Amino acid sequence: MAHPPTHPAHPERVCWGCDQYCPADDLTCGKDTVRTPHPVELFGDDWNAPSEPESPDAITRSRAIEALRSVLDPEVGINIVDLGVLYELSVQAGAIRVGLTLTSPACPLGAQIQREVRARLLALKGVERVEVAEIWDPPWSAERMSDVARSALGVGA
Amino acid sequence: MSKLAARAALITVAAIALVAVFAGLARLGIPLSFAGARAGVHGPLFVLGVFFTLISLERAVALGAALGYLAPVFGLCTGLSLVTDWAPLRPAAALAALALVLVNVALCRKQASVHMALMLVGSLNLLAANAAWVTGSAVSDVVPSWLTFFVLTIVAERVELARFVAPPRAAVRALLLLSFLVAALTVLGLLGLPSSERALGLLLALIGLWLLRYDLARRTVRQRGLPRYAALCVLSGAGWLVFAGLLLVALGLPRVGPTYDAILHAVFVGFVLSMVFGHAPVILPAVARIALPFHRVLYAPLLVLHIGLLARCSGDLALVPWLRQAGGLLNALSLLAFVAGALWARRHAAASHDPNHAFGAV
Repeated sequence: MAHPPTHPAHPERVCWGCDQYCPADDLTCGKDTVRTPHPVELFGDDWNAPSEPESPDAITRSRAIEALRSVLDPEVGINIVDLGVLYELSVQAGAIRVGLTLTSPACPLGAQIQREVRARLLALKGVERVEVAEIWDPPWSAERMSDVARSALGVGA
Repeated sequence: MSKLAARAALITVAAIALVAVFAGLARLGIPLSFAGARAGVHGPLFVLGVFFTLISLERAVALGAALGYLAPVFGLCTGLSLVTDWAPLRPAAALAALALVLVNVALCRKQASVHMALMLVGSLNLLAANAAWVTGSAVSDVVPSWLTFFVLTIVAERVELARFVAPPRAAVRALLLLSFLVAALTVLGLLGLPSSERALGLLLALIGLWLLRYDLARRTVRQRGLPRYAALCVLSGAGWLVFAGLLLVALGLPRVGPTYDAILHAVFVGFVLSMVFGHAPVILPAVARIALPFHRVLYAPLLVLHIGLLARCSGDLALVPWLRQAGGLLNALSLLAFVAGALWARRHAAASHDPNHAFGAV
């Protein structure tokens, strides 16, 4: 398969939709009505620049978020990350700070979910301290749910 | 609150529930000398000693402040005053309701919302009812307000959960309007002002239909495990609310007799107890740090509950005493079956160590 150039001189003259690289106004494949742009047009010259090597804290942060996907809101059966109640998660030298909200102040599950969050995070390698705070402002709303949560509930994404 | 205190509270609730069950059986004419003397307070035992204590315990855990636990403690005192027939302790019922009102005010201050307002209004209805009851009003006079407290509390939770599936805005407004009308209507009745029980029935039936149509349970019933079970509890409960509402519309609320029996049990067993069954596996870990892993064996008590209630209400309406008794007995058994099922599910989960079912295990 032919590899496209990473920085073509005139990306706008070509359709980049498949590996045929037809002229921009050709469109004989019938797949679309406009040509597909080159990533350099969409994201700029540094579209393929290697990202900076991640710091240990950043790696811990993404592993922490993955770990919290196993903490469920038992009422709706959706994890707290996709539910959007995880407001804040910062890592600093082995200490994690988590900010959580609840969908309602009348919900008695807060302490239970906090205990579970703490247990999951402390089980991660290199995590020494976990601090969990309750956040009530701004209130949770359904827009905070991820598409995964929406499709689990069968509501339009 | 310490784990130990919560568990002691739950054991006391269970003991009160046991007396309440036997009092109910005695009321049905099933000869049981054990609680025959308590037959007259079967309803208050369940409503104030059991259901109220569970709900206020849940709210107190949510608030997380020590003073909040006064509500369930006063609830237990009310239950114990009924069990022991010790009248000086009975005013605890009014204090319990007052404490819950204050807890709800504190929760509103944490984050105000329309569903918190509904909960607050529901607890105010309870306060009015309990104040009337401790000063001598008959159970049959205050029972519409008790019923309102439970309906509003449950509807508030469902309104909150409905946000997940975003029902039409107009539908939510309609539900709120229906609920506040229920509250207004029962307060009028409590004050002795003209109030129509038939109108109350219509409102309750519409609220039940709303839940059947728009509730989150309509979605979560398609999931598996606990969410599906909890959803079936909600939907079947909503069905009983519609049934009770329609009975009220058709027959009004006589102060005694089989119609009264059918309507009250359709609400308190069909709607409220069914919700308690569905809620327990979610709430117990949070309230008492008792992991109640879900197992499909929990469907058995739910089924027995609904079959029993069906038999009871049929017996009531067709005036067949043995059917009514059999239904009541089945309802008592459903409670026992629920406890047995929960214990069995715990043992089963301990044996299989399934981390996905171990919510509350840490």
